[in-house]
Order: sequence, then C-alpha cells, then structure tokens
Amino acid sequence: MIEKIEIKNFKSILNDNISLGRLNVFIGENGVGKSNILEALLFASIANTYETIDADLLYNNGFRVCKPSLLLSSFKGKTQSSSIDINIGTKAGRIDSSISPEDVDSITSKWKKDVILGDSIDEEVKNIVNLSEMGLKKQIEHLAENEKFELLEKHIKKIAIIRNLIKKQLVELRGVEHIDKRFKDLSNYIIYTLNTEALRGIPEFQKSRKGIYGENLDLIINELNKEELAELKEYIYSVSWLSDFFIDEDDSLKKEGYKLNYSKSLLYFRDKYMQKKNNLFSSENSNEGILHVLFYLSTIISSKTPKLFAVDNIETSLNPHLCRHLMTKISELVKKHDKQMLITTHNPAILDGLNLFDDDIRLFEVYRTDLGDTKTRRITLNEKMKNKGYKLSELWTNGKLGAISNNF
Amino acid sequence: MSDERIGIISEGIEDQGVLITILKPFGFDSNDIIPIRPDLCKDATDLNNPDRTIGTFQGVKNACLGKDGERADLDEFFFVANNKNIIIHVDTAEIENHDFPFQRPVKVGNVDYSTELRNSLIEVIKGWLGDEYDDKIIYAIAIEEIEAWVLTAFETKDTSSIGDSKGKLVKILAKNNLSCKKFKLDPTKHKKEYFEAITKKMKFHKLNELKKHCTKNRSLSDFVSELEVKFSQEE
Repeated sequence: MIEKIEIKNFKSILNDNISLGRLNVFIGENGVGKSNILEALLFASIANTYETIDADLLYNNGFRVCKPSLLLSSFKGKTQSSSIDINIGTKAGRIDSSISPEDVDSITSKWKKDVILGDSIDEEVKNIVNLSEMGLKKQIEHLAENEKFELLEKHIKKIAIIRNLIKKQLVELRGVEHIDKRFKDLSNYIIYTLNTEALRGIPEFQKSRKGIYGENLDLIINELNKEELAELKEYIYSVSWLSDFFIDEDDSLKKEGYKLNYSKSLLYFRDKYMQKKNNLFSSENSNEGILHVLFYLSTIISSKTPKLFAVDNIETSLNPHLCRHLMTKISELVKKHDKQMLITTHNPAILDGLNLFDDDIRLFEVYRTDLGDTKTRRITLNEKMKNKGYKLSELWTNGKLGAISNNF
Repeated sequence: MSDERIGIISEGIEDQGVLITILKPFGFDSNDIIPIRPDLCKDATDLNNPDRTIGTFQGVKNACLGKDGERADLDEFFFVANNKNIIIHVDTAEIENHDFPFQRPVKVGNVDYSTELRNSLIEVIKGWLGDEYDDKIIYAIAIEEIEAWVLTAFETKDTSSIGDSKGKLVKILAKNNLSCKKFKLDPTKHKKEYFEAITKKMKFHKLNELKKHCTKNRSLSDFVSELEVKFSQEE
C-alpha cells in the first residue's frame, strides 16, 4: 500500500506531500489540481513499469498528454525545472522517480527516467535491477585496484550479462521492464474515468489499453470466481428495480433480439417489477447508475483487478443516497479485499459515506495557494465533538470544510 | 499554516477583506481562512430567509449567542479539527444602538480609551459565547470602524479619533486613484476583494509595514498583538 507521495514540478503541483490511507477522497474547486494528483501517481507508475516513455504510451494509460513544457510546472518568477520528481513511500520501501523530456517543446517527446528503488530493497535485487553498467564497471575497477579479485570480477561480469539478457527478454515479451514484486501494485495502477457508453459496451469507446472508461465491465464480472460473484450479488438490493444480473457468455441473447449489433457487452439485467417474459434487458438498455455501481463494486471485489486504482468523479450518474451508501460499502470492501483507492468528487453526498474517525478513510482538500500552486490538506474531525454528528455534506456546502469557490 | 485554518465572523464583507490581508504575515494563505459570516454561501432558498445571511452587528451577535442552546456556526466550524481559531470582528461606532450593558469610557484626554472600550466589548461578547471556545477566539474590535484601520496607511495622526472614517476613506481612496475600477473589480460584487486589494496595496500583509500602521490606531495594534501572541511561532 502506498503511504506517502511527494510530487515536485508536475503541472500545478510545485511541491506537495500527501499521506495516504486505504480510501482517499479528494475534494476542491474545479481546476485546483485534484486530477493532477491522480495523474502524478500514474506518471510514476509508468516510469516504474516501462522501458521507454512516449506520448502514445502515456495516452493509452489514460494520461492527458500535453507539451512537456506544460507538464513541467511553470510559475511566474520561478525557473522551470527540467524534471518531474515523484517519490513514493510504501511499506516495502521507497521509489524515487525523476522523469525528464528529451524535447521540452514537442508533444510527442520521449521521456528519460531515473528510477531509484529505496533503502529497504534487498541487496541482490538492487544489484541485479538497478546497477548500471558503468556502476558495475566502477565496482569492478575498485575491486581490481585494491585486491584484484579476478574471480569476483568474472562473476560480476557474468551477473551483468545475465541481467541484461533477462531485461531484454522481458521487454521483448511484455513490453515492460522488470518490476520488483513489491512495487507491482504501483505498476498496475489505473485511473478510471467511467463513460456510460463504454460501460454499455459500445465499441466506439473501447480505445484504452487498460479499460479506463469501464469498457471491460462484463469481462471483470465474468472473471469473478464463484465466491466473488456471490459477494457482488449481495449488493443487488442497492438498486430498487434489480432482481438479477448475469453474463451471456456465448452472446446468444443477441440472436434472440435482446440487443442491436452495437454493444459488445455480454452483461444482462432482470427487472423485478416486469413480467417474467419481458424482464430481461441488455446493458445497452439499462440505466446508467447500475452500470457505475456494478463497476466499482466488481473492481474492488475482483482479485484480478488492480490493487491500487483511482476513480475520477465517482458520483457520476448516482443518486445522493446511493452515493452515500456506495461509499459506506466501498469503505468496508477496500479493507476486506486489500485494495487502495483514490477518488475525486464534487458531490457532498459522497462524503456522508465516509467515517473520518477511521484512520484508513481519509479526506483531502485540494486547493491553490496564493501563489497558484496546488496543495493538499488532510481534513480531520474533532474527536472531542464526535457526538455532535454534523453531516460532512452540510459542512462542505456551508463552507466549514473549505474546498469551495468563494469568488462569486 | 500547514493544515490549520482560521474562521472569520465579521459585520461586513469588506471587513473580511481587511482581516484576510492582516492575517497574511502570520503565515495564513487565503485558503487557510474561512469566512463564516456574513454568509457567502447563501443560495436561492436563502432569499426567503434573510436572517440566515444577515451581516451587520446583529449578525455577529446572533452567531455568538446561537439558538436553542446550539451555536451552529461555531460548533460546526470547530467540528472540523483543522479549524483552530475564529476571529470575531465588530465595530464600536454604533454599539449604543444594541443595548450594551456598559458605559462608553471617557474619550477626551483618555489615552487608554481604545483599549478600555475594546476590553468592555470583549467581556460582552464573552458573555454571549460562554466558556466553551474561550481560547480559540481572537477579537478584532475596531474603534470606531475598520475603515479607521485602513486609514492608518494614509494618515499621519491617530485614526481612531476620526469622526466618519468610512466617508474619509472613500475620499482618500478616490484621491489616491485606488477605486474599485483600478483593481478591475465590480463595486457591487467584489467588496471583499476590493478591501483585500487596497490593504494589500498599502502593505498590510507585510509585518513591518503592518506594525507601522499599528502606531496610528490602538485597536489595530491590540488586535495585531493578539495575533502575534497566538501565532508567534508561525511568524
């Protein structure tokens, strides 16, 4: 689990530190940089995963690509840094990434990266993964000068050759660099920005490599094991009209006229109020809310989805009470299924599902300082006033929580 | 100011603007300051309930007294742990209109007039508030109006003795070409921003300059001293 992120020189974030919990909700005015925080983590994830970083790779991972000169913080009166630095602290250790564009003015620029795995990495991994050829050479020279351990020199050379071979093979096979197991969660990190048409399986939206728009909803549900599916079905009650949902694996219902040829989704629903012969409909015809709810719940419950992920604007298409209930359930499920989530929202009802007296559940205000840079502040509640029980939604709308616009 | 925030309950929106600038040298960014009253969050429903959004002296009194044993503004504010302190602002110009249980001190020849009046008013407000948040309240008592604090940047003498400081400030700002237009602000919509801009222009956000202004108004000086005591580590 990621415990700390330190972001420097990324878009509006000049220098910010965030201590994360298991469920993290970010609120703030429009344009203060909430999504930039999610993206900074994505940038670090990509740097930690891929050998070569370019605009296509960034775009396919859900990154909002722009000219590097705009990606590097550029504030009046301050010299623009040549690199974006993102340091991540996990229980397993630190990953410090420094990422610089080859051509600061070209939107298609490739990016150079320098990823250093932190102190808690064991020596063997450090040597094999991190030691550059030059470093290796220096080490050999040093040993040679002092004691001339010729035998050791041979061994080191051998390790270097093996290291390069493994690395090359992995890159060829998977298009990715060797990933330390302990940082796998970061490498699999995704920002979901759900799109209703994508959730319905309309191919026009199936453009992303990782299913960031929700286009793989039916696939996620289909890959749930028996227990996971049973757990997901426990939540059928949360949508009043729903009696069941299922995956039509061989797409046979299409032939029976239950959907046109547009949707590729195999997900179907049954309405409990309709006659049995007429209660079945495809995700193409379902309402938006159920698709969003199922996506969030199945993504958390599934053991095949990323352990660490973000959702931009989680409230989309959801009734206020459903927002509250969903967040209560998400709070429980992320713990049960060992997931870590980052969420942005503009809907006060989302906050009413958060128990901020639980240290795993964290709320952050994101704001721009008087100088214009993005900062994040964790909002906590007064333990001594626990019994007052004010609604976070009301505190937010009446201004006591901050994170609102004051300029109109 | 790290994760800490401060609230402001003031008579008017203009007062908020002045107080926000004065807080800057003590480490507060605009985002660390939450204007509580007058209520900037009024919505369309509030148009039918003017009490909720009331400014003026009565608005401050209502917020401090609360209703039915609850001080919603203060209780809600301090329910959020980041919210550590509240500034309560009142002008002394018209206290006689509000049934105050004390006599205004003698003014002529009394060098402590401002401090005595300030202390009397603080006692009254403490009576409204009770003890609950005693250590979290900072008093911005302007004698006789907060405009007199702003005038310290333009005057050479003590500004608390100026009769109509509001009128005088309007004239001085016009004379110094510091109109709302000058700051590209709309006078009907941006009163807070206008007073923030004027006070910033006159360097109330720089501690050294602010202290120079304090020499020309005792009540401003008393307020700034209270801020210094409270936030000395953040200076």
